[in-house]
Order: sequence, then structure tokens, then C-alpha cells
Amino acid sequence: MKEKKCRHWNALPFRPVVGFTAVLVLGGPMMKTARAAPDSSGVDGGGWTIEWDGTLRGEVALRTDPPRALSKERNLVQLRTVAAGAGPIAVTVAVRGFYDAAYDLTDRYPKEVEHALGSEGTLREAFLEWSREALSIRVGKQQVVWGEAFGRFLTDIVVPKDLREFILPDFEYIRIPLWMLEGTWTRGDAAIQAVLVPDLKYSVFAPQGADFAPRPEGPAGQTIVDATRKPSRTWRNIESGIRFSCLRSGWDVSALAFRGFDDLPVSFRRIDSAPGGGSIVHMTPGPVRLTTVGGTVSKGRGRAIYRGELAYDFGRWFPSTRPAEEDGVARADLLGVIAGVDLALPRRSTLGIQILHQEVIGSSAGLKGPAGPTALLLRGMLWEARGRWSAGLEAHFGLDGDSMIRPRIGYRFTNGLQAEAGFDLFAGPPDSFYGQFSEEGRFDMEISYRFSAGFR
Amino acid sequence: MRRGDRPDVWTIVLGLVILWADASLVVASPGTLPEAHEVVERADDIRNPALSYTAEVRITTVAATGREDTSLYRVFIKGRSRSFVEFLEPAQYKGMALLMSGDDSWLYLPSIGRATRVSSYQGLTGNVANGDIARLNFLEDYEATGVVADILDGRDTYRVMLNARRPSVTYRQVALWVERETFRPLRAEFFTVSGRLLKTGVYGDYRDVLGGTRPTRLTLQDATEGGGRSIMEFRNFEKKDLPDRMFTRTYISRPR
Repeated sequence: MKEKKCRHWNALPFRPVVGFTAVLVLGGPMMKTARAAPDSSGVDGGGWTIEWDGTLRGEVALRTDPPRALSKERNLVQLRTVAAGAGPIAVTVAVRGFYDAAYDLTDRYPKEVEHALGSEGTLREAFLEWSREALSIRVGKQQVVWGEAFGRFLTDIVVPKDLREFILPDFEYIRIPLWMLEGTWTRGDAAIQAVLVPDLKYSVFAPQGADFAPRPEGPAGQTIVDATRKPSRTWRNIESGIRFSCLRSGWDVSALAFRGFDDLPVSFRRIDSAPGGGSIVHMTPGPVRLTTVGGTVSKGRGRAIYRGELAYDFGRWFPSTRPAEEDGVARADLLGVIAGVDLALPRRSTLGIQILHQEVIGSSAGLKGPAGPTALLLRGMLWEARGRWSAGLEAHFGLDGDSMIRPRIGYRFTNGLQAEAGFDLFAGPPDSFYGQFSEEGRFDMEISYRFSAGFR
Repeated sequence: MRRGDRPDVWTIVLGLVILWADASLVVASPGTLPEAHEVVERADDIRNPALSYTAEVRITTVAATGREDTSLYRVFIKGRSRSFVEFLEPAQYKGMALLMSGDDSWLYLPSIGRATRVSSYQGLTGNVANGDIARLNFLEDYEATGVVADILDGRDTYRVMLNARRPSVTYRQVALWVERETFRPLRAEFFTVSGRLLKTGVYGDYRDVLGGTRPTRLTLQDATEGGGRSIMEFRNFEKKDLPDRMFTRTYISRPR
């Protein structure tokens, strides 16, 4: 049960302020550093140049659906440094950590949720880059991002995702960096990028009891979910991918292929006889291989940027109710397509419109296909005033009558300091992609401070 | 005609030499006008030489209310059609980058961790569009349709009308004032498709940089009522052999 003892947020009159205050107190002394940055940073010269930047952020969320309570009071620190020599070598290291006081201020959440979302410290990036002429190689922990679309991941398939807050955070935050080798060779307006990924990780979801935990699946009754198996670290299991891109007559086209493992473990079913009669269902989540090919295209014309993505998964596993599938899953190919346009409007406003569709190829009878297979996605920066105020909207509409609406308003105080507030609202049937969180609507606000400096 | 009334051969040759030399300098005497595209080409050579170099650009935006905002960028320019812009200040924009290659533009946003294609129309800051900082090529982007003599602030100038060659160009029409004696660009007016004046640019603070005397300040005044102005100041020029891979979508898509 998600709700244990619920403390309403209005019973905690000023505690969220503590986090914000911490951000400001910590951030204030660093403002001089931020202003001094550009004059001392550079791209060339003798010796090494060290640049660093960081973010302090306080985030507060209050549920708008019952129980109306504090659901997040996160204080986040992110630091990143890049050291570049006069030669072809550069080193990048980034760390991120957060503490979410909401899990100590309320006992509404189970221990598993507190453990998963209460605090965290991670090494986000640690890679060495060597580049000369047309060739660039990066080795270490990093993100590699493919794709053109916003709002959903179709060809952005190299790294797994942190979906503990669904798809609400920035995508840079959502992507989980992996240890890998990446190389890019460039010739004119064409480039070939190759990746080798020995670091195998699954996407991460919030545990049951959290606000954005996915709906539990599996048959009702006596079900035992075994520990999730991970792919063994062998040479054969190293993931690999290649992406070719070129620009011709304004058409930015790429083709990509990636062979590895599905970011989501597949639950194979086994039914055993129970000692006292009846049966016990065992679900064993485990790794499955997956090969994806696809491509992206974009073309600018005047104020419009047209973009598209296509991805074809060979042999993805889906939950199945077919009697012949004893393990409860079946394989089928999956085609995904995204088409959209971004419009540059007057006064620095922008509007992006995008349509997503995913289709199981072949017979889909008895298969539970991909979540949210068809959706209309809108994203706009609709208004800006005096270079300080801004208002935006992100809206997703699914074919199942489900939706996610996110109006936001932002204010930029001084260099580096800004605030944002808005709603994350969901609607639709409980088994739909967005509707599964129809009782998890929230008002959220954040204040963040970014700073940077450089040394030579 | 009697022999004494006719100019001799040497006089004709001398006259032709003088005419050729005069034309080659494209310094028109009062009453004659150079070709429009020659005026624009010489102004482009001064404003944006076809070199490989870096510079820093500070943009100060003054709102109609008087409030000032500043932002700082490092620009990498190779030739006249490729530029790469790193965002340095304010700190919340650090890590962003803008690439323009020919008519195509990409913006790298750290929040999404990749570059997205954008329009050169899209606003960068204040009254400055992406194309204002990263795309500086009048001759290739616009068709010079006519040149007239004009006087601007007491200085003899050529006024050239420029029409966009392609829809992807930042402005649909530009009127450019170029000083008659030096071919220095002095002023530009930027128009929308409907012919409405969008903003006015004033080139100034000429300094000796990159082997020539060039404007290091561009003031963009919003023509709409209540609009503010943005001042772009270029500093720390440095000739530098920049690699081609820097001006590719793949390069901008990688976090720096």
C-alpha cells in the first residue's frame, strides 16, 4: 500500500524552505566565481586549461491528487570539470548527488522507496578524450545520445534510462551514463560514430509504493517474482553500435544500428504445482538480446524545422496471453516512427508538434504491445517577457484517451539563478501510458543556481 | 574632324588606363555608382573576412525599462559559412552551443544532452537572433538588387537593397548603408516578409583586428514600439586554424 501514515504538506509549514535556503546560502558565495569565469577560461594556449561548472538545485513537489502531501523536497548538487591540455587529450569528470528530505519528513512511503529515492551519489561522467584531425575517441563513463525527437526515446537507444520519476526530469538527468568506448570519424559533412559498451545496465523504475512506480504486471494469485538476472560480462555480451550521418542540401540524415540487450528485463513465466494443490507462478526477469536499426532525418525551411525518426526492433519480447507461449512472452518485431515540426515564432517563442506511432509487425493477437504506442506531443516556449519571465507548455496525448499536461512558468533572477514552477497533470485509463499516473498529479517548483569557473 | 581636334593614340591609351584603374578600385567619383554586389562584397570583407578565427562576443541587452542583461559567447568562425558558438555567460546557459553550417543550424542543450536543429530566425538573446551572431554573410545570403547614393549622419554612403536568396536566411530583406570612401558598413535595416521594419543595426567601434580595420560593435535596435536594444561587442580576436570537424553536427552533439 502506498499510503501509510500521511502527513499533509500544510502540516509542515516551512520545512521545504530549508532546502531552498541551503541552495541560496551555498550558492551566494559562488557568484563571484561565476562572474570571473569567462576571462580566465580558454580553448588554447600552453599548459592545461581546467574548466568547471556546477548546479545547486532545490526541488519541491506537492501532490494535487489525494493525499495532498509533500512528495519531494530534493536538494541536488552536480559538479563537472573538464581539463584540456595543449595537445589532443582532455579529461572530463562529473558527479551528482541529492538528498530528498521528503522521505524523512513523512512516513508515507515504504522503506524500499525511501532507500531508492531518499538520497544518491553517482559518478556521472569520467572519460578521457583523444582527438586529432578527423578522429576523436572517448573512453570511460559517458552518455551517447542518438535521435532527433523530444518527449520520447525511439532511436535514443545506447544508454538505459532512469525512469523513477517517469519522463518528467530533463533527459540529460534521465539517461544513465555507461562505461564505453566511443569513436567518431568525420569527413566533411559526414561522420561515422561507433560505440562498444561492456557496461550492461537496465533502465531503472521507482519501486512499488512510489508516486511514479509503474503498474504491477503479472497474473493475479500466488506469484513469486525471482531476482532479476543480469547479462554476464563476457566478450560476447559487449553491446555495439554504429551510426552514420551526413548533411546534403540541408537534409540531415543518419542511419544507425545497435546490437545489445533490451534495457528492460523480460519476465519469463514458470508455473509449478503448489504442495497443497493448485499452482505457483514464478516470474523470472532476465536479459534478452535486441537488435535495432533505424534512422533520423531533419530539414530546415524558413521558420520550420521538420524532423523524423524510425526504429525497427528485431525480435522484441512482449507479454503474451497465447496458450502456446508457456513462458508468458512472445517475440515480435516492432516498428516505431516519429514525425514532427518545430516552429520558430516571433518574440523567441517556439512550438514543437510531434506524432509518435509504434506498431507490432506481424500478428499481434494475444500480445501486450508497447506502452503508449500512439501519441501526439506538443512542446512550446510560448511567452517571454523582459528577458526574465517565460511560460511554456508540454502536452502529450495518447490514443487511449490518456494525456500528460505540464504548464510551466519560469523567472530568471540574476546570472545563474533561476526559478521554475508548474504542474504535472495526468489523465486517462489506469492501464494507459500516461493514465497510469492519473492519481499522481503534482505542483512542483524548483530554484537552481549554476556556476562556472576556469583556470589556466 | 581635323587631325588637331582628335586625341592621339597615347591620349586614348592613358585615358583607358585611368578608367581601368578607377574601376578596379571601385571608388566611384560622385555621380557614378559601383555595382551593388561589389559594394556588398567589400563591406563583407571588412565586416567578416573569409578567415579562420575565434573571438568573444559580449551581448548587452537594454530593455525598454532600462534593465540590462549581459551574456558572453565564444565564437569560432571558418570562412563565411561556418561558425560555432559556445555559450559562456550567464552561468545557466554554460554548456550550450550553436552551430551554423551553410543554411543549417543546431543548438546543443545540456538539459537534453544533444543538439537539436533550429532555425536561424530563432531568438538567441534580447534582439539578437541566432543568425546575427553565427551567420554574418550578406553576399551569399542576399541578392543585392540596387545601389543608390545616400547621406547618413553627414557621411557619403551607398545604400544597397538586399533580398534573401533562400527562405532559410535570417531576414527577408536588408537595407545596408556602406561608407562611400572606405566601404565600411555603417548601418543596416532588417525587414520581415511583409516589409515591416524589424530592427536596425549600427556598426561601430572600428579597430585594427585580423589584419584590417573592422567594426567590433553592432547595436541592434528593436523597431517595434517599446522594444529595447542589444549591443554586440566583439573582442579578443585571434587567427586560428580550426579543424573542419568542429563545424559538424556530430561535434556539437557531444558534451563539452
